Amino acid sequence: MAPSRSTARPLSAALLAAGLAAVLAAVVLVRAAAAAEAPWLVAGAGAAGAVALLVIAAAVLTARAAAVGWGVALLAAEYAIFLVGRGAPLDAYAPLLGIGLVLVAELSFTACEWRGPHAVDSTVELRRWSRLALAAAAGGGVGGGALALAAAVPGSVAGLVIGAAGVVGLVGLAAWLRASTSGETQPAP
Amino acid sequence: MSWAPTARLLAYPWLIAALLLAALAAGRPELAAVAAPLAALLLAGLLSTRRPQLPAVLVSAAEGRVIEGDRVDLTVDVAFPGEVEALEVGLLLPSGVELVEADNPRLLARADGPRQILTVSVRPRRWGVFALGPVHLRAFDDFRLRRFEARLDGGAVIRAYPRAERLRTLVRPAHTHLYSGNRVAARKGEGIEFADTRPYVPGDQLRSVNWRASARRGDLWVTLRHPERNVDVVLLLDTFTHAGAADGSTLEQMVRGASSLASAWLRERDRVGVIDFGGTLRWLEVGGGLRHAYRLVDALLDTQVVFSYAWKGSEVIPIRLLPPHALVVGLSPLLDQRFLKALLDLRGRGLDVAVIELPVEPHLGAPATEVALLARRMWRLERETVRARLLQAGVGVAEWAESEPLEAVVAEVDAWRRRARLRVR
Repeated sequence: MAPSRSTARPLSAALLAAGLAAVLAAVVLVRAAAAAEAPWLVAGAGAAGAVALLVIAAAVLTARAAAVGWGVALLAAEYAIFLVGRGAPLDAYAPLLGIGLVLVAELSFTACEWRGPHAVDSTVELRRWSRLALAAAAGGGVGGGALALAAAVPGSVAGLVIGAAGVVGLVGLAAWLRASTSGETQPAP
Repeated sequence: MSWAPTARLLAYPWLIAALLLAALAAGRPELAAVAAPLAALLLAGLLSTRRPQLPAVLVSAAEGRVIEGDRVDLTVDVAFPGEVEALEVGLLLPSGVELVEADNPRLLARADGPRQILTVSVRPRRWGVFALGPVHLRAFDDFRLRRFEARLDGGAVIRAYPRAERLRTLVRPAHTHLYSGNRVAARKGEGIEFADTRPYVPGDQLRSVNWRASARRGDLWVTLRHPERNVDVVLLLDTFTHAGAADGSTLEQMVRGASSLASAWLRERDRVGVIDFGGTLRWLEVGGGLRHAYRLVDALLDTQVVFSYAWKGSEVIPIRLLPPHALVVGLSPLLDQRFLKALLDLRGRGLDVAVIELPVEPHLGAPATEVALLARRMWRLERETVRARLLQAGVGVAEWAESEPLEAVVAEVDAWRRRARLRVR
């Protein structure tokens, strides 16, 4: 096994992340422009997408992994603005956007990690990306199923309750994780 | 192994929660569908990997004793934990030791076997005792959501000895010892070097008769010779203070010089002792032979500056450490008055003292202002005065710039002593 630490790797991951984020932002913006009646919604979506791109590019270039989440959140915000402007019909492409966001986030985090003192092995990375693609695809499938269910049973109370419980649970998990890492640093040889 | 969340695990729950909240608030299930892949990833990552067991790691060095600058091969034996796919192994090297042609950290894959051995080459840049390690271990779960880390003691220690300069010239002592050695004594007796002739007296050995002189003078004359004797040398190291950074300070130069001098005198079958005179007093009594040489170099490796305000003079040095007629060679940057006074006291007590001065000025920055320039000139004048006081007391002083060989400095001290026709009470 020959671990490699070339400088081309982080750069390629960073370019891929920024490129994919740009594609997602552009697609959402074009769809928003086509669907929205109010120009301020298009402007809002465009602004969110542009800021998201800037944040992601800055995060991968300066290896600030903490900023990646904000970039992805801004991309999601762009999509949310598009949905508000679009109106009633459900957007069937939402799970695909979810998978795209996962890829942008993972590529950005990977680019940040590879700039640090980490050893990288191609075989191990390949296995990780395979697992990741599988999990994201499964999640996309679940998302698609949920959308189909929402289309079939509009205004379901059960969905509202499950969603609210999910929010509370995730906020609790995030808070616990934040508390459990207080004072932790990442030492590097 | 302890664990900590990676940036992913800190970001994903918030992202998913925000998307779900937005979905609820806006009544748009698409936003929940966007969150689904992220949630699947989070769930799979948290459920897939258990916390790995602490791996057993052993670091061993091919050689425990090396000369500074030499390459040492280390082997890091890692028993691979089964719970992770890959393990990063990084060796934390102490200051003064550098890595030679190796990646640090290195990544080990579980596929390559349950027990793996890494070879890492290091090089001690300077002399000293270096504990290699700890070994930093890092692993991630299958989705890089959690980071598992541990720091284990390596357990390997290398002793890097100073690279000794081979000296052919040494400071000639004013007195020799009674034991036989390689040094030509000033007095006359049994030996090899011709000293003088004198008339034969009953009891003289027949082999000492100088037949040519006897034939010329018509009477029996005998040859007198200088006996070969050894000398006791005490290296007095100034550990009150030092100048310069850790790598390349006057302390480092002092120990290197002491090692070279001690090796050279021990090769000449002289007896050498060492005294660290500073904040603490450490010593090794005079002795000779190979075993003593190793003890002496080991003692030199532990030399360090211990800061102290306490006033100390030569009276704190046990009398047995300074044998009669011993040559005391001080190595000092001549910055501390206590050391200076001790040198003058020893000389005053009738000991044969010489000093090798370690220059301080290369470790100082260039004076930036007029006032600083003036202060530097005054400081230089003060140092000149210090040197003059030592020379006036009969203590030979020579400055040893690191770029020049020690032998030249030793020869300079020796030449001054001969010119001064040094006499020791």
